[in-house]
Amino acid sequence: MKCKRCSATATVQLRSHNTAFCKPCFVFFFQRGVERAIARERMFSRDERILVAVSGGKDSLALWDTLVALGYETEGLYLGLGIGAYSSASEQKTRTFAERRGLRLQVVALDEAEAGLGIPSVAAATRRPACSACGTFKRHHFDRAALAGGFAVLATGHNLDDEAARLLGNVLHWQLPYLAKQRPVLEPTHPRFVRKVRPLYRTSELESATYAFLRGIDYVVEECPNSAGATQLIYKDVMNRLENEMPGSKLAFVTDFLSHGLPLFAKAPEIADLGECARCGMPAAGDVCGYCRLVAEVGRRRAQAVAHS
Amino acid sequence: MQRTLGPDRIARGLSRRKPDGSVPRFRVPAPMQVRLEPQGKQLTISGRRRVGDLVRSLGILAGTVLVIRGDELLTDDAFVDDDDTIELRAVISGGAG
Ligand code: SF4
Ligand SMILES: [Zn+2]
Ligand SMILES: [Zn+2]
Repeated sequence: MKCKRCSATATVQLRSHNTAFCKPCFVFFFQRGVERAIARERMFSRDERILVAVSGGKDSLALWDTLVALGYETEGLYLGLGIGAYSSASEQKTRTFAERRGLRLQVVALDEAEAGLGIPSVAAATRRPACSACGTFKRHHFDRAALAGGFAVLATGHNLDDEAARLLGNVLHWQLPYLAKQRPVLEPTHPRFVRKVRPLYRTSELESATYAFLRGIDYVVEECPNSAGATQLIYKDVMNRLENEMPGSKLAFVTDFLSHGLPLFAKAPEIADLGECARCGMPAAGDVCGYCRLVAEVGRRRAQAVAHS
Repeated sequence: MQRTLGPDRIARGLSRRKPDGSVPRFRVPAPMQVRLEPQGKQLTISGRRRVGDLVRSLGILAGTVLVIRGDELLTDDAFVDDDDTIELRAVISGGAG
């Protein structure tokens, strides 16, 4: 197989784009694709400071590497979720990545040691699915760090496969409010929020894994133990079967939705006006934000458990 | 032509000597080592084949794994053979975040 740009032997075949590349040409193709996505959706400019949420996985590290290569001003944010060996491995790989490249990295650890607020403890105390508690914690800490650091934008590594799987789930259940919000750029709905962007929304997992490998990025290949059996993986599998039979389906599903579908859903009922949380000051739909409610619930459940024993 | 070797022949591998005690002229190749990540599963497969066929024969969808040999990535039309050490690294990550 030959590279479509320079005719050298190809290392990467992208059936979805009906093309193949050698290593340097693929790196060029990948970075240019991200740059075009940023421009197309007007995600941010070179004068804005970008906080990149990194997990130690291929997508977020490939994104950070690319933004740096493209000359954007970035800082990484790693959230230690307290999920045993998975969290320690991902934190170590993220730190190494940042140190080797001389990049600024903020590490925020959930307070497992003192308050028992690691994800597994919170899930156990509240009997919630780990991923639901995790989502609430991530949103809160990302928003808070972006605000505290005065960043203009928060960028996450969600890729095309994530977007396609989420879209499939939202369509299967006709989640109108979610469909209205499924876009690669979310403008802040409160002055204490920052813009949220997904520069890899047109980039497949195959591409980000390939990029990470070719750039010598040592990322965590292991999965979070809570991801096994997640509905998201079933949707991804369905999309991969489609993609296998009809290359290009994933990209068309997501991009056609954005151009033709999204405008129709944009009128879905708006979420209530946001005030400020009485406890932490972050935007909240009621008196107290979702994060503070969850933390309070953990305290209450633990007190009950002690009282019963 | 590629000769197919029985498991017995492979097991005896290099230590095999001719009846007169001399070392045979051909080194017996070790079968291909294939590791599936992140499962950590190790497979042993004999014989030259295309990457695309190898991946398909394991029931893996095209485009859902990186095929790694040393520090290079292999495309579907590349050949892998005995003595190769291959990693098939899943590109799918899951979970809600
Ligand atoms: S799989 Fe669930 S618990 Fe694990 S990191 Fe993702 S959202 Fe959090
Ligand atoms: Zn090339
Ligand atoms: Zn709060």
